[in-house]
Amino acid sequence: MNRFYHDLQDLSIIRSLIFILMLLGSILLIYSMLSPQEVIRVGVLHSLTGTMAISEKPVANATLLAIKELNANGGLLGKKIQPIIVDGQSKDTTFAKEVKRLITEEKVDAIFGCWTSSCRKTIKPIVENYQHIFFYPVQYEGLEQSSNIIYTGAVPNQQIIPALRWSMDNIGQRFFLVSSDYIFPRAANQIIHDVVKKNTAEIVGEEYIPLTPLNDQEQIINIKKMVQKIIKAQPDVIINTINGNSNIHFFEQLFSAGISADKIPVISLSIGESELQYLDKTIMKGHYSVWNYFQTINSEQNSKFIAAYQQEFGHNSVTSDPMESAYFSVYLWAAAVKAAHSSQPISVVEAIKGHGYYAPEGMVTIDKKNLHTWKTVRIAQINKNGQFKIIWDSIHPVKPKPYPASRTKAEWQEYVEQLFQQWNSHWVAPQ
Amino acid sequence: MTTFNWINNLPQPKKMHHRILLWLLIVASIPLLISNFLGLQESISMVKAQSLQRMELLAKEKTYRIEKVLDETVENLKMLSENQIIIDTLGHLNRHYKLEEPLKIRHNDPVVAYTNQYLSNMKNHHSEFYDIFIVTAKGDIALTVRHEYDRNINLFDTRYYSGGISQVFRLSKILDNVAISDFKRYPPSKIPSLFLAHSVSYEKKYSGTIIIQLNPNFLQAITSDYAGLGKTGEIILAKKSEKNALLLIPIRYNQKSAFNQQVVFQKDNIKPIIHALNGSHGSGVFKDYRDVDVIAAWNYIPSLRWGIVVKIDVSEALAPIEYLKNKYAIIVLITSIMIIFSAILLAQSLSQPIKRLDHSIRKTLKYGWKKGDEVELLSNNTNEINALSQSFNLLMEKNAESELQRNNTDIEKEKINRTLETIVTHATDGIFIINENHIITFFNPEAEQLFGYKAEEVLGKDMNILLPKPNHKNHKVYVHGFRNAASNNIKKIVSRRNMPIMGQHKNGHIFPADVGISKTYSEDGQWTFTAFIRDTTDQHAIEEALKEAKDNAEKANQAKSTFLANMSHELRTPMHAILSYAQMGFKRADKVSIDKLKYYYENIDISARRLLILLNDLLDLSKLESGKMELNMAEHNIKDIVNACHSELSAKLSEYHLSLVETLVDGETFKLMMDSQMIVLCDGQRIHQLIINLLSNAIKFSPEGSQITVVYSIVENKYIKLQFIDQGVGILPHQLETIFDKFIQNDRQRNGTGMGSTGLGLAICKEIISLHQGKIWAEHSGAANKGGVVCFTLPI
Repeated sequence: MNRFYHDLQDLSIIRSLIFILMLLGSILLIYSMLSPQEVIRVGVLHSLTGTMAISEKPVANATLLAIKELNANGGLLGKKIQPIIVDGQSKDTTFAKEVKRLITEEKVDAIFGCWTSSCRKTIKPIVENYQHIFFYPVQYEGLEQSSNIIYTGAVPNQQIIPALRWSMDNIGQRFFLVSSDYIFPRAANQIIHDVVKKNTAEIVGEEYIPLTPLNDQEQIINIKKMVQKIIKAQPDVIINTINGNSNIHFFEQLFSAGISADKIPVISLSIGESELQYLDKTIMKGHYSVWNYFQTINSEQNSKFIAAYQQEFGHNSVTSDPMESAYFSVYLWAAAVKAAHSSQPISVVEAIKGHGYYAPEGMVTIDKKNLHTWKTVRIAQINKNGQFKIIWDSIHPVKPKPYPASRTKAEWQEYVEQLFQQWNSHWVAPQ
Repeated sequence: MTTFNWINNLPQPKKMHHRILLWLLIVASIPLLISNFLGLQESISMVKAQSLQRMELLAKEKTYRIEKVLDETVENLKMLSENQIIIDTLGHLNRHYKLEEPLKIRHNDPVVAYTNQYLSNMKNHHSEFYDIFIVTAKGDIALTVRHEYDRNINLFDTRYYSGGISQVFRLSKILDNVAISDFKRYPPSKIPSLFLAHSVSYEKKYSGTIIIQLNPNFLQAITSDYAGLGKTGEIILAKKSEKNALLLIPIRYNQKSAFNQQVVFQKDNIKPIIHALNGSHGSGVFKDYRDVDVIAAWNYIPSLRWGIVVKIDVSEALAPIEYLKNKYAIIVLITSIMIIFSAILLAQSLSQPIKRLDHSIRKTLKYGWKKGDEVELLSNNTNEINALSQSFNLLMEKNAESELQRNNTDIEKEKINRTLETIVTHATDGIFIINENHIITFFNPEAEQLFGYKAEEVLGKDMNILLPKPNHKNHKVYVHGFRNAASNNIKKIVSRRNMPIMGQHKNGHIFPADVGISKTYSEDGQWTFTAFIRDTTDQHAIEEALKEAKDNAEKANQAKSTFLANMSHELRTPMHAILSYAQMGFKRADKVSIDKLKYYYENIDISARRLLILLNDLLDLSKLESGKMELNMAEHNIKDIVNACHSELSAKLSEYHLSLVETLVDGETFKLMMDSQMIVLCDGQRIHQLIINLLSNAIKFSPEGSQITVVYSIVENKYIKLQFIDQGVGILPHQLETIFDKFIQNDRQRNGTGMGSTGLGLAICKEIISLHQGKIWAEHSGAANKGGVVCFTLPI
């Protein structure tokens, strides 16, 4: 005992042990300092200026809301998500430039953005080239597939086709197609033609107006001409694929020409809550829209989403289908990152396949094969309060089919390529 | 014997092999334990990861198999929708039956019978088909293979409307695609059913729908296949039903659970099912409904809205871990034993030879070394420790050889040392030694005596404690200076400085000291300074006394010479007078008158008398000095004696017109005490002689017509004091003492009386008084001309 005490007094062993412990501690400290708390950077790429800003700003907001909510709940993999917000300026060239910059310079792990099909078509080769991951939140014409783009909006079999079949059953068989002249309406109309061909229905008119007119006056003249043709054709239903604020002129001109919903109802594929805000209630009453999401959906998830959004962006702000898609895109991405234990784009693309999420619109699932989203189809009629009243839904999420079965995949791709060539390598018709 | 004490004081060797052992154990065990721990962790996580992966693969496989059946059915359904027989059948129905009314298929309808047979064959070909329906555009069931009684029933009928078959009928038409119903009980048969529907066009017009009911057994085939799931694994298929999860197939532990087991969705123990039904896929460790830890993997099947969970008990899946743990434990145990064993061996092999060597050295130190005391080598190995032992043996051997030679010299040295030690110990000088740093390293007994400190008190201390404070600072400088000085002896340096060296005793007393310091340069490069110190206080005192004695002797000698000169003169003068008058009388006796002769005789008489007085005085003095004077003690009134003397000297007093006055210091007291107090026990003759002497002196120094005063007083009721005061020149201060010495002639200016003196008077007086136990002294009356005062006291 005495000897032991003596050894203790000597302390050399204890001192050495302390030294070893300190050494280990400092190694740990250095190690932890060498791997500092990182952030996961994601790009949010939408038009914040220009003609598309009116539609895209709320979508960007919904994306940022989801990121904010995730960060408030502790972030992802122990890291905070840092959104890099970039303005696409409603120009495809800017989008292309910024996507490249986000990937190569900002080193983002995912990009959320775009609205128009022409924009998506422009950035697609870039995203594929860098094997990145891009979330596209808007319904579109389909006829496309990429192993780097996650399509969270509807494809024709989740919007256009059910809309047509429903209207054949419930309204009438004679269709008049009014469209902006760019890739989405052109392709959509092709699909409509295919569906109509299989049925006894018929297309009594098909008119295009420029997507981005030189000025409003000229557009109004275009629309007036179109309305005259509608009156002449007397269709049962008008299928509207006009995009942007030309819709305001179209509905005004239609209404002033004496065509209200009870005479010829319009089924719109691009009029959501955001757009409806700018349109007159009395003019819009009785017309239809087909989406996967409406603000009026009665679900716990939707109430939360609306409350969170309004809390963040004002109590009068509305939520729309692309906004909701953008919102759940972030959550799906986060779930995939968690499953992959990595935010690396390639890993996330792999992990997101087959992943589902209870979105405000209901269960959404990324299809294992085509990276599109299983979504519930809904048809709503605008009531006198300017709200969408859902009158039909598909009960269950519908499997996305980017290439309608009426033609083969190759035939569709050929058609799209042809349009591109025709428009001098653009996705919008030249004026 | 004392020389061996330090050997016993050597520190006992610490247990080196304990430390080596401990260190080896720590050094070896930490990596062993860490690597084993990490290895085990790695293995566990690998086994775990493997199990998770296996479950995930199984879940994927089961999902794939279910989806494959479904996909095949969808393809079959699509083919059926384009099957000409079916299209024609629907055309036939449209043509031959009024579809506006409730449908009633005729029993003998050959087309329907044919198609029925066709479909029934098809059903038999596809085991997964339970039934095939053909429904008209209005929703009437026109044909079924299995359930005959369902024929003619309208799907918009409330009984059927919420059923799966009605659901897919309506959906498929609008979606223009295959619709898959929920998996739920089909009302008529209550069999859990899954319906798939596709619309059929006849002449480009929607004319009806073909519906396939899947046989629930197809699931059984997939889910009852427990391959890869061991004994505890199972597969759970569930769908969401309101807020609960509903089991679709019986689970392994409860064969009746399908469609009975409503699991509350919020429950923690069905987490994988919840995860699956919420759309995610993954794997992990959970507690299941039995509260057992399971490894589970789950998947969501979007087309059916089903969740599939494949799970296995952790205890089974991770059984290899237990095996691994045991294996690792054994490895750790064996390795530990090996480490301990080799550590002990190593520690022993290191410490044992050193211990032996140390033991040998100690033994040698204690008892010396002789042949045969060599350290035993444990092996022939030429390692460092063996080499050290060998070196030690060799050293000792060599040492022993030279020891003999050295022994004699050593004895001599020892003798010298002892002598030196004795000298130093018994030296009459204080000796102490300091080192370069001023620290006392040696202090001999005499130094202890000198400074009052014990050797133990000062050894190791700064030597400043032996010096008075003012010297502290300089001393170090001096020591340093001396160190660098050429001379080896401090005395020269000190004397050159001409400074006394002072020491300080423990009690603070500072004494002069005689110091000799020598410096020695030792081999270790240090200087030591040895101080020899002697207290010179006594020597100083003796020197002083000697000097004084010498002075006194010289003075006495001088007085003697003077006295002898005086004496010879005093003796010769009367003798001359006697001889001259005697010769003159002798020569001129016949020539001179008788008067002249008378005169001669008179002079001879005077001179002879003077000579006699002189001789008497000398005799008295010698008697008194040699102590041979015997006192005739009797009671006398001192006043009577003074009066007697007064009358005896009255002739002389009147001759010089002097008056004698007697006074008292306190007249009244004196009168009262007169008779009793004035009585003194004394030798009256001698006191008479004393007073005569004193009065004669006073007369001698008194100017003509002056007054001599005798003052009586009583001192302390013990003595009577008499003062004789004249009005002469007085006595100078420096003569106050010496006038009582023998042979000392007072320098007082003689008055014109010519009264000679032998110079012995006062000396005789002193002797007389001292015999009477009294005191005699001269006083200085203040100014020189106020006259002399001589006092004496006598005990009453």
